Amino acid sequence: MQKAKMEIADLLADESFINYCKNSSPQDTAFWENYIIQNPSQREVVELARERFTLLFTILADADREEQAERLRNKLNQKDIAPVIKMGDWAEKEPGKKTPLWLKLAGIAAVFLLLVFFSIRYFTSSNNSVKTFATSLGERKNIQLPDGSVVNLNAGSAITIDEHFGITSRDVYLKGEAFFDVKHDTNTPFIVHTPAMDVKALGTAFDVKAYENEKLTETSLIRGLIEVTLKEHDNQVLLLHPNQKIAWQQEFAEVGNNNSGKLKKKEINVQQSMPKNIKATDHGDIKEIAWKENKLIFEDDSFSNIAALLERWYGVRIEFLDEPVRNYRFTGVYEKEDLKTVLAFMQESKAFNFNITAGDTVVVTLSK
Amino acid sequence: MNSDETLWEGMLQGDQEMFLSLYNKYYHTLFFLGIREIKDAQLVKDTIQQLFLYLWEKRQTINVAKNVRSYLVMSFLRKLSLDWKKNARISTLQIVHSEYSEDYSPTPEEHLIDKDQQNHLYRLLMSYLCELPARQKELIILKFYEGLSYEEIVQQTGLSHRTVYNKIHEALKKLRLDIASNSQNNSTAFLSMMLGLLISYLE
Repeated sequence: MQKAKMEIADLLADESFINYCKNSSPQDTAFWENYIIQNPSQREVVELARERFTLLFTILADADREEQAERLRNKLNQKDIAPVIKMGDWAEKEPGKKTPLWLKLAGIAAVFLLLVFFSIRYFTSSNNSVKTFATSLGERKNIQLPDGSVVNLNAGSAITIDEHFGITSRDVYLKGEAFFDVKHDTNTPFIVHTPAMDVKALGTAFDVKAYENEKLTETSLIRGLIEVTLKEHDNQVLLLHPNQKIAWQQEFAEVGNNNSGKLKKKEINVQQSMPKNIKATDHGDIKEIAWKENKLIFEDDSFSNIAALLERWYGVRIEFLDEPVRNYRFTGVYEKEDLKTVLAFMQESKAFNFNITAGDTVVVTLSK
Repeated sequence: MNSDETLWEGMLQGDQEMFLSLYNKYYHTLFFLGIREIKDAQLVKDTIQQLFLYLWEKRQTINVAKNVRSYLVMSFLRKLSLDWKKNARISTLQIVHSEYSEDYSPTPEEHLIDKDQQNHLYRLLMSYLCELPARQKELIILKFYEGLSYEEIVQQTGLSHRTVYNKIHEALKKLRLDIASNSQNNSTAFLSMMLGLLISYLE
């Protein structure tokens, strides 16, 4: 405890300091009062830390009360109009068991900015009737659409719907990855739009993965029947049956003169417009939707693919200083582990070094 | 602010706003009382919800409460202890009602809640909180709002002690608690300006 220089974060992470702030333990209060006397230079930081504790506590308390009041108000008005879109329930395992504290807060900062950003970007003409829900890196959300369908939005993803949703069809625009559990309604088809494919469903459960910075677009069907249109393959239409998936890989090949520095887009697609079967792992997990259960699954995946996944999962940046490491392949299942533990387990199958820097960047190098 | 009696009367008359004010007024009192007994925030929150829904539904047949605070506290604790037993995780737990009699004093946490905190720093910190990854946010809530110890968080989340501590420390750093608020800067600037004027005047 007698560190030369304590920062507010260090103090507030300390159990006994928190007790002192809350005045909940006479011993801890005595300890910290004595500490200030012994270390007069620390008085200022200790007092500031106590103030910030109060502020942090107040914000959390206000947010919770407002959210709970909202919940009560909604219950009272249940017979009236239900809210168009319910956000929240980001605890996946037991719906209703954990409700979000952030309903109110989330509307204010980052998410709000994203909402505005995506709205303007996609629907400049009528951005007031468009609803976008987005997750930041390391975050996941469950969203209930107006028709009762439920969307689990994976990290770093966004879905957009407009005012026409549910009138003649249910159109959802997706960036990133989401799992859809669609409410059955034969008259209004449910269509997920991504740049490379459109996925049309009647009443079914499926996963669509279409991250902007990845070449691969993938749709996996868990239940029901879906119709996939491959937009970049002459709008070829194919049907997917349960436990099948379709992946569309966009390749960019360098064509022509290197000196010109020009990259020409060329799609190399070989027999990829065929559905593949989804296999469960030895433990019965389905890799395509394991993220919903908070599981990270690698199955002979390259480190560069894994890195993209980890970046979203933990909200970090991963840099490879040595190119060969990118092609290392790993297999494994991780549940509820932190980033360091996952990387440490990976190190056991293939040797490499990593270093997590303060700016949430992970630097990966060859092991020496 | 309206008195308990006014709010209660309003509720009995079917005034939803009055009823919600009563709820807002007592939410934290009940929450912290509950969380002190039972380290299950969700159960505590659900019990508060159900208590108030019950009050609202039965408002026509409810007796006039002599003391609103003690009526709410007592019915809440009774219900919480029943709900807890229903959950059957620990059947022996008994919440002692008599401890919170009419002269019950507010929880220490209550003193912290200043209704007039809508300042710059408040909003700034709120936006930093929003930016935290879900897991870190959850841990911050468990630690700083629900007041769980590290050991209790380890038991609830199944994460290791080290991980919990590191993530909380990391989150606290991201919250940039050491920055000064703008208003403080302004007042410091103002003070030094005044001081400068004073000194030049004295010279």
